[in-house]
Amino acid sequence: MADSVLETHGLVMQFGGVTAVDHVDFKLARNELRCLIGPNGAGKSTFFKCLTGQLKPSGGRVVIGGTETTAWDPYAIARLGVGIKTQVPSVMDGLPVFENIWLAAYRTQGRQQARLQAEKVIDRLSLGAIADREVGRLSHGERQRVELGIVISMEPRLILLDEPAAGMTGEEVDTMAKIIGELSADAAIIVVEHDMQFIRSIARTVTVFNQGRILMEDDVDTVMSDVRVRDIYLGKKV
Amino acid sequence: MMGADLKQTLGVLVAGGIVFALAPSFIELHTLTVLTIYGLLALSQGLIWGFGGILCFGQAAFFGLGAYAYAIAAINIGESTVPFLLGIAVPFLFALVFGAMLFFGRLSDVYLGVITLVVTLIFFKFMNSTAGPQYVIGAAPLGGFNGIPAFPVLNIPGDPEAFIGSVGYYGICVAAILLTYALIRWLLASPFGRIAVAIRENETRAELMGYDIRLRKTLLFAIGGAIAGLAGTLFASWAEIVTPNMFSLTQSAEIIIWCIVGGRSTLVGPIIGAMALSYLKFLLGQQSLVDNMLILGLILMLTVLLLPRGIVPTLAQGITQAAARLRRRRIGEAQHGR
Repeated sequence: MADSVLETHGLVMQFGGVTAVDHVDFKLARNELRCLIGPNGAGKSTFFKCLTGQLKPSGGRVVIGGTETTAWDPYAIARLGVGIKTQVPSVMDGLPVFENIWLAAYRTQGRQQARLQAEKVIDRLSLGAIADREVGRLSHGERQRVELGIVISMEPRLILLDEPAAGMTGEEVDTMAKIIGELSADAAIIVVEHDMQFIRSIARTVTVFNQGRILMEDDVDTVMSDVRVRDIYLGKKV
Repeated sequence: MMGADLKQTLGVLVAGGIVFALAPSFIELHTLTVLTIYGLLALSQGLIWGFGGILCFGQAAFFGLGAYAYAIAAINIGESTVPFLLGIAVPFLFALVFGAMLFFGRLSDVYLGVITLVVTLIFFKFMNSTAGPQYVIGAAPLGGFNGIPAFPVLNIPGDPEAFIGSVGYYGICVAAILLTYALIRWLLASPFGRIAVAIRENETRAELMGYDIRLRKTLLFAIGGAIAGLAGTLFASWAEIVTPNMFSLTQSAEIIIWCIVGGRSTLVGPIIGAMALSYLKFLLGQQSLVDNMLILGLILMLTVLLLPRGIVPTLAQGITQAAARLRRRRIGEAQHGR
């Protein structure tokens, strides 16, 4: 129990007649880096929303760091040290980059440290040149980085990244992979991605979602050579 | 960042002080006083709507509640210090409880608008139907449609006989609006205010950062209620009568129109919107050629179509751009000369 950061037991999320997440048993060890793949509509983002409290699960349990958080409010779960980068960047569009990151830092670090923390994170993500710009006026890739900055500055111990490399240039993707690698030294991370190149560069274990269920869970190479996975997902792409 | 903020606040306070000091030469003092009170009322709406993203259709409820609380307490107590404080505290507490119900119930924006409006109209209906002798609080009859006349107006604290003259009362209202403005600027520069703006920008993200948005919105809503209550209290002493019309649909709608026309992304905008439109309404009220609501409606429509951000933000942007153009031209000339 002590060395798992996240566990779900029989997690179910239903929308009317549609079961988006169907009895998922999932376990993530401390400082583990896990990739989550699966076709569109497999339930990955819904699974994330159940973990962060944005959706209240229809059934099952969520345990984060030994505390049962099923049906908690998002702010309470965030306070346990859970940070999420959502699929469509969820940032404060009308505010400058610095303010976005400061707001996240303030909650965990307090007034004295927040400014330093924000500056540190902006430096780390090379956002210095655009720190005073309004986030709404930035490119998609830059907004992705701002949102990552928001997550990092909270210093969470569980980080959920929903398609962090989407809409980024090749160079940005490499930087993102490097940053994720660094982050995994201090936090457990789940990454949802479609970019196989990217997954290979960061992941050890991969979990495959299909139709709300876990299809398989194994190391990258085994998953990628699995026929079923190719059929449901990779077959269309490769 | 903080330095520029402070400088701007002081600039507005000094400019505001000068304008308020000169204004009695142009506008009759009694009218000017109520314009100032309306400015304060608009400021309360500007805070919660423009900066908190809470569109409350019932700011008039807190305005009326403050006025009634003051009038009822003044009749029962006499000396005006405690009634004055009650005129702020009662709407604050009501907004706190009411806001907690709205925000902890996680009502969406549309329902929030509807419910705040309905609550205001319930006050309106209720106060209108309190004409009977059984509707008495202490020694104060609620008076129904006729409202409560003849209550002790604001006096110098501690001396119930020392009523404040019209010049003094104007001074109090000006002090109230400038002080409130300064306090709001301070609040908005503090972490509480910055987080409130963050919630306006993106509720989901603020919550995912770990902020309890329900609690924070409730508090901001209650602060807005207290300021509207202060405006109501000052209005009561100005009008020397409180009537159910303070809760009316017209009153509720006007506050929102003031903010839209003046520009709700600023604090000065709602104040100017309130004072300018109310003065216009006052002037139009002296003629019978056109209905003044028609003119006000036209102004609202033209503003929304032509200046969607409101008068003050558009002017501010225009001035900034003109200044930049002037600076560029000067630099250009200097280079040319060389």
